[in-house]
Amino acid sequence: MLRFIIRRLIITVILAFVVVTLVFLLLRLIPGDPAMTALGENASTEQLEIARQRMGLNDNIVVQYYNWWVRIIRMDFGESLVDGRPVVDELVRRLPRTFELIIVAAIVALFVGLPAGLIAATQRNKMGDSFITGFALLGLSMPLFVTGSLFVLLFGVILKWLPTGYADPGDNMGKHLLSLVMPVGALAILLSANLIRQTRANMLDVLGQDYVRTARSKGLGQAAVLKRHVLKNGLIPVTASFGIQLAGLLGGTVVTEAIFNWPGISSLLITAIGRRDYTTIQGLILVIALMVLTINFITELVYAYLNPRIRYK
Amino acid sequence: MPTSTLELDTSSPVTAAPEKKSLRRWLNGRLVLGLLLVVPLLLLGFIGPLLNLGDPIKTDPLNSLLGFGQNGHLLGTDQNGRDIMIRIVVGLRTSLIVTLISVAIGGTIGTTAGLLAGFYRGWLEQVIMRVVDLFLVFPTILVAIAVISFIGSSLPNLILVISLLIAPVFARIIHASTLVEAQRDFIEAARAVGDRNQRIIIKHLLPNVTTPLFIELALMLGQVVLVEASLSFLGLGVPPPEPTLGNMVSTARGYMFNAPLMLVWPSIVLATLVMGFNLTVDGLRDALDPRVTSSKK
Repeated sequence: MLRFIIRRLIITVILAFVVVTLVFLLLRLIPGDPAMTALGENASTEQLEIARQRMGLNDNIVVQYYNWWVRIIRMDFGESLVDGRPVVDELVRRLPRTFELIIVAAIVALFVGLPAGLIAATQRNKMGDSFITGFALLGLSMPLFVTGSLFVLLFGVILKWLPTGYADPGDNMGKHLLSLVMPVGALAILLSANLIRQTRANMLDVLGQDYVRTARSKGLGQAAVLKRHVLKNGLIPVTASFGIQLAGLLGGTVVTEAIFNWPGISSLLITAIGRRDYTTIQGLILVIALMVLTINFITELVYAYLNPRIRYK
Repeated sequence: MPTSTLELDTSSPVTAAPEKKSLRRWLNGRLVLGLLLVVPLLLLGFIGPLLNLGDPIKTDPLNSLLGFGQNGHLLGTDQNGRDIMIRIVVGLRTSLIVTLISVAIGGTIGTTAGLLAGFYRGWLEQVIMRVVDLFLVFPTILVAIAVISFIGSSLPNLILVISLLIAPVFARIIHASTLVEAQRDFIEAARAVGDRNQRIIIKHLLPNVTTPLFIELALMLGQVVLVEASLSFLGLGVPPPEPTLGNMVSTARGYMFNAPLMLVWPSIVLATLVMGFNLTVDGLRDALDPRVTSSKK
C-alpha cells in the first residue's frame, strides 16, 4: 500500500507542477498586449504600467516563470487587476460557499442515488427500474443551467416556495438553508443520475457472478445475499467513479453559482472573466485545478484501500 | 423474488445471434427512440434556416415579449421582438455545427493518436498517453472556460478548444481497443504477407475498432452539445446577437416574470437533443456489442 501511495503521490506532484506551469502560460494566450486587452483601448500609459506589473509581464519570461513559482509557494496569487486587492483574500472568503454546495449535493446524491441504483438493479426490467433509469437518463440529459433555470422559474417565480437569490448565513441561517435547496437540488440531480447508472450497472454485474449464485443455492435470502456478497463488491467501482464525479462537480458549480448568484469561487471566476481580471482568473483556475488533483488523489487511495487488486497493478 | 435474477443470468446473452435477428438488434427501443428525437432536430437545424423563415437578429421593439402564438409568432417573441421559433432553429444550427465539427476534428485526432499509440507502443505511446492523462484529469467545461477566457470567444476558438478537449477521450478508448486488436492473428497474418505498417493500421486495425468508436462518437455528440450550450450560457460561446440555445436560455432568465415560456422553449429543445443522443448511445451499445446489454451498462 505504501508503495502505491508514494507512486500516486509522485504522479500527483508531477501533475501539479504541469498545472502551475500551464496556468502561468495561460496569460500568454491572450492575443496582442495582455494589459491593453485587460483595460481596453482607452487606458492611460500609467494604468497599463500598473496592470503589466500586476500580471508580472515586465521581466523576461524566465524571470517571470521563476517569480510565478516563488509567489505560488508563498500562496500569493497576485492582486486583482480591477480593484488591486489580493486574490487570495477573496478566494478564502468564498471557498466555504462552494464547498457547502458540493458537500451537501454529494450527501443528497448518495442518499438518493445509491438506494435508487440498488432498487433498479434488484428489480431489473420492472416498473421501478424503468422509472429510475428514466429519471437517470433525464438527469444526465438536462444541462445544469437548464435544470437550475427551470427550478428558479417553477419554485421561485411561479410557486414562490423558495427564495431565488442567495441569503447570507451570517444574517439569517434559516433563509440561507432555504436558499441552498435549489442549487443543491440541481447539482444533486446530475450527480445522482450518474450514481444511479453506475450503481445499477455494477450491481447487475455482481448479481451475475458465480459466487452470488452459490450464495443463493446454499439457501441465503435476498437480503443476506445483497448485504453479504453483492453490496461490498458492487460498490467498490462506484466509489471510484463518485470521486471523479465530485471533481467534475467543481466544473458544474460554475454554472450553478452563476444561476443562483451564489457567492462561491466559481461565480467569482465568471465575474472575473467578464471584467477581464486576468490575475484573478489565473489564481482561481490554479486553485480549482489543484483541488481537482487532490480529490483525485484521495479517490485513488480510497479505491486502492477497498480494492487490493488495484495496488499491485 | 430471489430466483428471478438467477434465471435471467442463466440464459446467457453471449451466444451468437442468428442472421435473422441482426435487424432486430438495430430495432431496439432505445436506439429507435433516440433517433426519433435526434433526426428531426438535425433536419430542423439544417433545413429550417434555409426556409427563409425570417431574420433571427433584426429587432422589432413594437412586438417584444409576445406570448404563445401572438401576431403570427408561433412561440412568441423575445425582449427585442425577435421570433423565438426562428431563433431556436438558427441557434440549433449553430449548436449542431459546433458539435459536429468539433466531434469530427476531435474524433479524428484522438482516433489517430490512439491507433498510433496502441500500434507502435514504446516512447510514442508514453508521450501520447501521458498527455491524454493530463487532459482527462480536469473537467472539460473548466478547461474550456479557462482557455476561452484568455483567447477570447468566437466560433473558431470554440470549435478549436472543444475539439482539443475531446480528442483525448477518443485517444484513450481507441488506444485500449487497439492494444487488444493488435495482438490478434490477422495482424500477424497481414505482417506475414508483407503489409506496411500504415496499411495495417488503416486496413486492419481501424475497421476493428469501429464499435467503440461509434459508441464514443454518439456519446461525445451529446456531451459537446452540453458543453457548447453551457459555454454560451456563461457568455463564452458564439457571441450575441447570433442566437444559440445556450445564450437564449441565459437571456430568458432576465424575463422570467413577464415571459416564462421564453425560457422553456430553448430548454426543451436542448434537453431533447441531448437525451436523443444519450438514448442513441445506449441503443448503439445494445446493437453493436451483443456481450453488453445497455441494461447492464
